Amino acid sequence: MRRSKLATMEEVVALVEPGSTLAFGGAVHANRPAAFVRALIRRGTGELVLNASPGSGWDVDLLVGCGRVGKTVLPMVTMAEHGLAPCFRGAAEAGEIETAYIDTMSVVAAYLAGAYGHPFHFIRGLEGTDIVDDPEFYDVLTDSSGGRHRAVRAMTPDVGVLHVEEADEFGNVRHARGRVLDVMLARAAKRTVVQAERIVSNAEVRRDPIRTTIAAQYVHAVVETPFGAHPTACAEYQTDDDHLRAYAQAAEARRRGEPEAYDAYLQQYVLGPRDESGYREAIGGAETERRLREAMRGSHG
Amino acid sequence: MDPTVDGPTVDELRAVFLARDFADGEIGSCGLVATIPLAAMRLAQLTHAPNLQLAMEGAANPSPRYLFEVPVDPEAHREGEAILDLYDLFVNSERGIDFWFMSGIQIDRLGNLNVHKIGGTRERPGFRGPGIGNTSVAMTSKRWYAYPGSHTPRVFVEKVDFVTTLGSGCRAIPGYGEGCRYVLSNLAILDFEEMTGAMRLRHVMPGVTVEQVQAATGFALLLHDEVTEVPAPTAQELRLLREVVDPRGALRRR
Repeated sequence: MRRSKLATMEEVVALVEPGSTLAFGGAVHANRPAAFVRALIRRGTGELVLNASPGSGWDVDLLVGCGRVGKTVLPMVTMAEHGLAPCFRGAAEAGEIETAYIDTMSVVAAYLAGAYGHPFHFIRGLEGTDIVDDPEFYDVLTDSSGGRHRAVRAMTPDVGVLHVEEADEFGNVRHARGRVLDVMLARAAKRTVVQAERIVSNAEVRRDPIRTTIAAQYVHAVVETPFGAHPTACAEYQTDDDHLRAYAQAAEARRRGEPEAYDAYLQQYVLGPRDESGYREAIGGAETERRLREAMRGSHG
Repeated sequence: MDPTVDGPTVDELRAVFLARDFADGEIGSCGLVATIPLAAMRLAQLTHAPNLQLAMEGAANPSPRYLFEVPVDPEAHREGEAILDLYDLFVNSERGIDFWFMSGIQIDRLGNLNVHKIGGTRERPGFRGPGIGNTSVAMTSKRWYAYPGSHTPRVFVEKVDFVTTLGSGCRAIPGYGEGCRYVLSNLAILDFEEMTGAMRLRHVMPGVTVEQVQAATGFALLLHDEVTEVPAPTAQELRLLREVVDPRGALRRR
């Protein structure tokens, strides 16, 4: 009998140990594994190293704000339309977290090397910048003709976490729209866990295999997590800009020494709710979900 | 829309200036803070450059209903011809495309751009910026364009605190393109002198004087022989921008 990879959120967040390197899929405020992040914060795992993603926002800022992060290897952390990421910025400037200075293409190259099991991947186009002097990530290799080539060291995150629209119980993944870095991340990570809006049958996957974007062999576990990217978007609902704006304002107030609104946010949305169904009630239940789903349909009609 | 009554904004002028600089058949792309680059590329496609290719981080040649800020938002994929991922961008970055765009927190006399940090140490920066998504693709492209948020002496500095992207210095590095071709600020459009690679004032925005631009710049600007006002858009360009590309008026907020 083929083994199902369906799991609970509690089971998959337990894969993360203190000091683990975590990599989130999606980018900025789209297809982020938000439910996983909330559950991980409730579990209390700390000293995390966060890498991957061309751009990160709310989720990284929240993990930093909760004191769970030791180091970031992230090309960009921003709240986008809502300004800088306040907790990230504050912790970096206070020296409370280490923030590597790296760019997206270096992370892509590092994941390609990680996926192949090679020590390095060559990369062009960083000469002349201040990014390349960090020996943790970069080296210059010499070929037999004396040619010198910049290379990025491989990265193999301990746990990769994606939010996608569909998956089957064996771990076949179907993105509905953007894949960003997800496909490479799933190949590079030691274990990849997937949050899916819904579980589809293996028979349905087999009827249309061209739609499978990541094959089961790369996936360790699947958690059915409807609305689990909120407050970020996926192909089925829009980013909750009101939620993100309120978060950004509360976080900025805390950076300036007024933590009350941030503490209230944590209590209302992260630490207070026991699980995702509690969270979905806290954000306004079916009415909020309907509004954000309709907004996405409207913009693609 | 009568542009003599409701004249172009600074952001619309920047988008039109950029659009005219793209050749038909080129390939361009952009990262975060996408409204001005996206408006320029879409306008060029609708006017003189129907074969311009938009290789966005999310999709190829999307046709969004409005200008978005973040190219990975699902809205940014609307009516795209293909979903692209970061492997496509990696290939584009390593091989080089025609042009790319950068915003930033500091830019210096040689067009070097900083999005990482100001002051303090590497471990404990005085100000920690967001960092950059993509920088290598700017330098391996044939050219890149800078559009910093505001033109002040804190942004336009003699020397940046951290070189995220190399400016006119790209010209000296094998395998790179011409580097930063234009800096488009809210006050002016600037380029770089051939010999020295130093920033040079070329156009001012309507109602702005050369002295005002210099006063807002933290180093001595070179001047073109004749510094003129930014070229005005045609009525057709402005109509396409406002009715098709940017119906929500993202470029008309200042």
